[in-house]
Amino acid sequence: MNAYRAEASAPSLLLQAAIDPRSMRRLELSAWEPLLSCARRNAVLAYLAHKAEAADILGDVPAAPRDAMRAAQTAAARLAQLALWELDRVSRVLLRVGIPAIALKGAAYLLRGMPHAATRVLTDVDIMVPRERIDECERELLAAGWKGTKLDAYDQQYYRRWSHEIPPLQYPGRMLSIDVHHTICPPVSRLRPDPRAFLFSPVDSVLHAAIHLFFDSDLDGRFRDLLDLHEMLQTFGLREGFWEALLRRAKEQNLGRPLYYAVVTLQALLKTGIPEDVRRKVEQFRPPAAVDLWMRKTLTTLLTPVDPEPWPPPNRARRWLMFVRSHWLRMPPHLLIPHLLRRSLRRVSVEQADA
Amino acid sequence: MTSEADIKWRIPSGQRLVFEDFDDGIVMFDALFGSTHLLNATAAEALAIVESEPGLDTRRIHSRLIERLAIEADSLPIAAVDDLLWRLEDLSLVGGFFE
Amino acid sequence: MSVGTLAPEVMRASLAGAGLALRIPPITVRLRSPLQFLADQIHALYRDYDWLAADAYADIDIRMLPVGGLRRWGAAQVQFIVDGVTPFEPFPIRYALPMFEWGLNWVVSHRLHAHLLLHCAVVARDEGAVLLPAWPGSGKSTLSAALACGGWRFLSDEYGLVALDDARLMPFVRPVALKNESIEVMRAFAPDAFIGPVFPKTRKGRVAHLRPPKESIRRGEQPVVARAIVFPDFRSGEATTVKRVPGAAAFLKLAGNAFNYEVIGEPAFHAVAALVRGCDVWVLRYGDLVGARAAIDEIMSEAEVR
Repeated sequence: MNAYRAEASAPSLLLQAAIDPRSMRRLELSAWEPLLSCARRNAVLAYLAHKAEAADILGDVPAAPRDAMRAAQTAAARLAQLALWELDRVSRVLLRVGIPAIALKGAAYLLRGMPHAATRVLTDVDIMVPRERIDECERELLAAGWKGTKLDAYDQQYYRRWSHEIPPLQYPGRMLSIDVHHTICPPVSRLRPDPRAFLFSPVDSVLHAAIHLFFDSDLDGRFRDLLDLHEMLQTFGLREGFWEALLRRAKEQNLGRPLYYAVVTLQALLKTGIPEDVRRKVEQFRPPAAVDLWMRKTLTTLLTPVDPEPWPPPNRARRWLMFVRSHWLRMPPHLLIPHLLRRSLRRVSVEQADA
Repeated sequence: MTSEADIKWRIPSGQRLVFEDFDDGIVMFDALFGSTHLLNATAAEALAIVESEPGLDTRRIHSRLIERLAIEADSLPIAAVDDLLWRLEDLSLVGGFFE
Repeated sequence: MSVGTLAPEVMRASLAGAGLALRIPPITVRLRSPLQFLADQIHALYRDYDWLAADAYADIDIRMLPVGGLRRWGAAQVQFIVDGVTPFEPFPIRYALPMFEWGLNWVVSHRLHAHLLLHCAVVARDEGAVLLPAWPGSGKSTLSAALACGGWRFLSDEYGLVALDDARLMPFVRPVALKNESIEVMRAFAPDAFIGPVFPKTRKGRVAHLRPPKESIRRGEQPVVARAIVFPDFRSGEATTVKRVPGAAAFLKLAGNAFNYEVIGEPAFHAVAALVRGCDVWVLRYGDLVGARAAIDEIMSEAEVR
């Protein structure tokens, strides 16, 4: 069914383009279609356009794919604008009652002015507030017009108890929802103030993204999250003392393991410029050999860009195991099994309802 | 002590306003947040004043408006201008600050 | 080479294989599907469109595949796959054609941001175009089909593609999706026009697709200048009346109803302003197609001398 495709697989075309944007100049016209399709499947077409632009080669791209790349940039830039609007609206409410909010992930990259921030396909805006003020935060936002997402009682409880967040809030008529996370915040002195929200230090941003990706997600279609880590390490890595501080903080907070996974996966897939001695030093956080081998294989498999071509999509078994693992890390075992069972049952009933 | 009368107005940083005048109203584009608004002449003039002369207080914006709209002072109470500025502030089209 | 030159077996085989790269200016759409009846329906409806070599670059890659897995024991269904993603729930398999048409529209609306996508029908006479914006109950599809069958050049029944630099209108000629009574209205109005199978009970009621005039497809790469914007307002049995719409109101109606005005932002703001300033804008209340056509003829004649 794919006789017309270029010889190289779409994911390898995409990886190559992300590692070395200038290599895109050598692509045949027939390779652009699988490359763009794969970039869309992984929500990184605007990112790719940005890389081409930064490498000053967008003008060399044939007209049709270039239009498509510019269109993806336009759409992502609009989402970034909406995210800043949502933050503007939220900070008005929270500042009035003095709740300090930390912007996370996409919103934080925007406030930080990271070059790739306006290329992310945002669906929500993430903020973090002190644990003891989470209920007040939710009340204030509801009073100001946001609505809670309709969830059944079980999902409500799951969110509140295990997901470190309250169910997403959405303002009627606006596209992006707001995810309020609550966890123990670092003291405010460690944070960089911004008129709209606080920001983690660069080191904490990297560690937070690493925990989120490697311990808290099912790793399904998370290539773009890997790119966030790639971009952060490339940007922050140029700063004096960043790498030493990163290693020190990871050790002190007992977060060496996610940092290790981040370093080895980035190295394997994106050839991220991580200094040799840092790569050596993260080895101290490596899990036992057997686990290490399985995890490295699984991580490179699952974090490789998803190939849009095979249908139905493969790797279901590994994804399911990672989904189980992400819950294992969050919930006590005696609750985990009933939870997963409930999820599976629901999945079956949804499939039947569709049929 | 500062009071509301000391508030100065300006366009938020990064904000740029684009106007198109038609017979039945003024359509304005807010380049920072990407929203489009339909304005009457008073609101459009107020925004243009704040944009071209940042740092005016409500009283001075009021007198500029009277001048530019060529109307009688008592046909536009200052309270209405104050109310207008706060409604624009609520949309983050203008920002208030103390010096 | 037009799709009509392909033998039906070749058409089926290419859809089932590497796919058919259909040129629907200004885009190329690759369609892959093993469904033979779909190949036959596309063959008839897209007869006058060009197809490109299988290794040509396609802007949009769509697969229409029968549903596998758990659902295979239920009634047969079809899914719409674009870039390895299924944005919609599957449809009953016999609705593959309307699903393809809707799905393609959905993809276009989310992706074609090189143009401002107004939600309107577009027809042209000589080099001047009239936009017929969508409005609940406007009847824009039927009205544009009637004009197309009455000698006007047809550009779209759904999308006004506005170039962002000079506000010219690009054609996006697609089969016209006729709904409910308009199917019979068009059969009576233009007995020679080809209309595909009728699909009962869709989300929008009964739907059938009208093949656009060959001449309109042939001129699919030629842009036009907008001269008039006419908001159609169909009122059964009423007499034809027209009323001018002032600029700001017209601006907000057009922008508010566009697919990607907010996505594009400032360039879209300028394009809408340029359109409104360059056009006569009217509301057209009409009770029958003949009266509406006469009114639009007159509006255009007036706009052309302006």
